[in-house]
Amino acid sequence: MELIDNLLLGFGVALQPINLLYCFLGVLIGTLVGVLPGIGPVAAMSLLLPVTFTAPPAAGIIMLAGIYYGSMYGGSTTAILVNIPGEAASVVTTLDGHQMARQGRAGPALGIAAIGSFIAGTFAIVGLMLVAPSLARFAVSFGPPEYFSLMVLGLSILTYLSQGSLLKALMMACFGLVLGLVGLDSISAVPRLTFDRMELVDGVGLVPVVMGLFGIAEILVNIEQRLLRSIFTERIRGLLPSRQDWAESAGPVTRGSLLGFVLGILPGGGAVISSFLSYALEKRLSKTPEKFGKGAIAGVAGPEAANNAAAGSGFIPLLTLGIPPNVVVALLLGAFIVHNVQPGPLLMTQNPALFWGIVASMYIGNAMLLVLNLPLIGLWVQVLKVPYRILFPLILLFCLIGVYSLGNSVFDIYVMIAFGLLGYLMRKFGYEPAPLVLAFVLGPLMENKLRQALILSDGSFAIFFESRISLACLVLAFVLLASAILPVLRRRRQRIAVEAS
Amino acid sequence: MRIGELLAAGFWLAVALGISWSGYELGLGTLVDPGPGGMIFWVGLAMTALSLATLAATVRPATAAGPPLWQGLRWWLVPYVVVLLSLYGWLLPALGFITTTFSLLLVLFVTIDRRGWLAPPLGALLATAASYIVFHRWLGTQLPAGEAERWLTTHLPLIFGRS
Repeated sequence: MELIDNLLLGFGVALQPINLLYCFLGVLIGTLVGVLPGIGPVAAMSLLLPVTFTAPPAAGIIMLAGIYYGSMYGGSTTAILVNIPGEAASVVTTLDGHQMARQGRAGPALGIAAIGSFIAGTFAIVGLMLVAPSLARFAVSFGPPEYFSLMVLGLSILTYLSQGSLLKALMMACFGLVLGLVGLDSISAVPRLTFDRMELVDGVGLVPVVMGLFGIAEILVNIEQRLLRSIFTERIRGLLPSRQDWAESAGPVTRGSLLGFVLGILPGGGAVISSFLSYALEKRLSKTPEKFGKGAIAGVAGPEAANNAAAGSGFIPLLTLGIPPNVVVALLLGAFIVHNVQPGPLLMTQNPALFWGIVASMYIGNAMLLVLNLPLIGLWVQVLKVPYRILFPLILLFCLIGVYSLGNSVFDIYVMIAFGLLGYLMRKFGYEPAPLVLAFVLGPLMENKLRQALILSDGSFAIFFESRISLACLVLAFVLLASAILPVLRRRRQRIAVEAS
Repeated sequence: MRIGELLAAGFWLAVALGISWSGYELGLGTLVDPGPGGMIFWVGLAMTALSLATLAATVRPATAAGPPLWQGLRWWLVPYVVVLLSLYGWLLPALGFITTTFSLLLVLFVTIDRRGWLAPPLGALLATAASYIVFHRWLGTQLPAGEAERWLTTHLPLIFGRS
């Protein structure tokens, strides 16, 4: 009963005209950035974060959340029609989705991707509604050691799953931690690593760093190669899958939803890993695995369901623990803080209208996405025809305006350019930016929790091993990182990372 | 490739050493009362160890040299765009949003994969005007004003003035 009351409260908030408008804008922009290769949800959310400053907190956060789960829908369109993933979580959809399009079955591929995404997205929101209150009640008992260890685990999982060298990924996580500590020390108010620059006293901005590492770096990588896109030009008809398609997709959608939901909650997990594991699972369970890679509808339905379910369940650790499980959700944490809202176990009791408003908006957003992605598919095909030589200067311009408008500071533009160049070189030499950004967001929180824990325990590290939750997190993190040294596990990790790349 | 990898590892080693030194200078404090440089120092030290390990892995003779990173690519466009963006940042406060943005877009449209002579200035003009109207007029973003903004807000206040 309490759940229904809460949901009604949420719909009361989400159905307010301004929130509906922001939700629509969010899913529309999300679909657009999902469709366009070269700009992902991270860059789009950083770009639009300043735009939400003037909006009420609920509206701003609803819009940014809409961009995230909207991009999961849009990414499949490009993957199926152009054979280029619109964003990372749709990489696996290219394998069978584009083959289906080449066989004249682009309609059912797009249809099952959108409907599967809708089912999984809705499933994840129901799960979020049911799991979040219990987890939040449980999380109230968390102290500094539990929070610190949980963050260590999240960073370890993300680092473990990063592409390429574990050493390099760990190094980037370390660099991100230090970068997050730039600025005034929260306890002693001593300026740290500011190089006597007033602009750095408040720390390095999240948006310039993220826009540089993901937006500018992506453009620099793309412009040095001539991108040739062969766009599927035949008329798309018959978007609704046949009875046979439904029969073949029901299992993969169900399994993908469950798998994505569980992996999305785990710190360090997310939509990309979920889609790959779902594909591997479907191929293994299939009676005709040889059809995979040649246009099997299960190879589209499963991963698309998994990445959407993961996008939805990724909100659970953020809303209940205040800990972002991946980079995109880390940006949402930034949005909460900008709007003076602290996500965590107390959010549900202190600000129920905001919490349930976000949940309800996700139901509405998912329904909007179904409409945007089925009847309006022709529009997205037209968007795909815009050449990259026109697109990239415009993306650059949006990045410049977005970063400048944060604090009307040219310094932020230089920070973005510097991180853009750094991100470009990091990609060239196999250094992953994702651990850097997550560590950057978690750095100040981790330091605070570590210091609080040490003060509480009179300087004894035993406090981290006395609590079972903290101990379990640390042991798991250690096992994960140590396992990368074992040859068998190292090969498996590299295989997952290469597939995910 | 090998030299590039070495340079990259060397760069991170230098950064890590710098971080450790800064942390040490800021003060480590004690375990009961950790100082402002405590975490910076220890993380910097961990980073130093990791960069040394990466450096060692790179110089190991068994490591195969990968393919050339810039072969067959238009690598010169990268520094070119970076310089253009830096110039944009430098000129923005002096010349204002419209002049600087129009110039940047025009140069990019003309110099990278240009198609025709009319499309670049027209595209740059349209994109600049549209972004100014959307961000400045509709979304209320503070953009630096120059001569062009002053002229446009005086002569075309309905389009370019604040809504």
